[in-house]
Amino acid sequence: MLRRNICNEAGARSDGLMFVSVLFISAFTYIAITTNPVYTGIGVGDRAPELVGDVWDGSSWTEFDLHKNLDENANLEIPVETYYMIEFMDTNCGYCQQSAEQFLTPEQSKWTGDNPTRSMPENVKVEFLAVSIALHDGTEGWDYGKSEITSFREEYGHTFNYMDDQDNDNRDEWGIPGTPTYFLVSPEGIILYSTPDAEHGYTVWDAMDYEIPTGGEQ
Amino acid sequence: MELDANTQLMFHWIPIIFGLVLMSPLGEGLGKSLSSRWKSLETVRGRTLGGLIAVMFGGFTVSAHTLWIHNKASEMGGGQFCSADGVWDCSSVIGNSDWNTMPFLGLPWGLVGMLAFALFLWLAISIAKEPSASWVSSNLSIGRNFGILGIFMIFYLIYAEYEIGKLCQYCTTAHISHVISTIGFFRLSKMYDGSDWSNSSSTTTETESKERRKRGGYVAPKAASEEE
Repeated sequence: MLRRNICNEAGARSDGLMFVSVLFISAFTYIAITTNPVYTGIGVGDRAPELVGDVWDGSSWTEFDLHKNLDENANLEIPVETYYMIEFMDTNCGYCQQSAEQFLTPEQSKWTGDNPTRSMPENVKVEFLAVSIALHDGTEGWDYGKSEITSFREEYGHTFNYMDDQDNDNRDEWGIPGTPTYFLVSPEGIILYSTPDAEHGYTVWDAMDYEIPTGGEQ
Repeated sequence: MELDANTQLMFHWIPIIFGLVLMSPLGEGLGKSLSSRWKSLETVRGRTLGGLIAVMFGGFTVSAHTLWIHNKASEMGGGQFCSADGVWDCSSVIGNSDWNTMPFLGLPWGLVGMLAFALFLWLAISIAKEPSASWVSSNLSIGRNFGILGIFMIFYLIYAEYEIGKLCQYCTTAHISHVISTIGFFRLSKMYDGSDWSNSSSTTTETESKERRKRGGYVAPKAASEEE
């Protein structure tokens, strides 16, 4: 015959709760101490969202994945720290055309290629990536297509890659408010500069000068 | 020496396999050999509850490990943990930002697992401590219902793995643990409704009460005359 004891019944529940609470708090504390999660977003300090698409390198269209690229560079026998300057632009946007001529052309020779004029340590590399989006698809006077991207790149004498994002997949993932929008991404995939976050007058070029280490031979 | 992800996973399987054996007919011998330390393992009910607690503990630890990998993946990149070329590749699943959190609530699945197994553990430990309590039936019913709800979530997560094209060994371990726990709750409910429960109890309730008194869980108040 089972005999009930009200005190023991309450005690059994609170003992169980105590054990489970201690277990839960211990596990949670360990996780909190040993990890430091960085959340994905487009603010400074966030992990850059996925950026995947076809890029035009001047001769062919190839698939590009930003994070895969950063991981591969970090895992080389002699790791290369690659900083990415990413510009979201539209080939039809006036400001983007102006920026392409006034800033991107001179800055690419300063930072990219085999002999950049800015001094950097040997294991540090800078890549530019222009992501071509479609701001007004279907609007008269706004032309889109892969040929628009290749001719834009050629017109301004750019040597860096252009990504075709005219389906706006990456634009939506990143939540781009307008064009041109610039980001500087560290070799760890963390955003160091973001136009929406930047103070007035502080440009991506200023951020690059500040964030990217100097050193090595010029 | 750093252990790889699959070797680390084995540590979570130890309590799960131990619990599964204890719950099975093979567990009778194991229960008897451990009964000098834990008297309740002499009965089927005690072995089922003991095995269930061990399985849930394994489920809890593997869920905590999953949350740890989730955080590490967002800290250092998805490819840093348990990446593999084969179909078993937990970092591709846990590190996948489209699928690695619960819809609407946004909680990482590892945390959901921790909460679920913590609830299960509480229900099972309470029953193990006081099998004759009035709330045993409601505990078993909560365990069964949450178990079924969890199985629907497991189907969703299997669909996520299908979409990603990879399988996560850590998640699968937690899923197996959850399914065993649910089966355990159903088995206990069947015992509770039948005669097995009270038969188990009648032989052990007296012993359990004696043991509890011996451990000093209850101190009787002294009579006024004794104090003076």
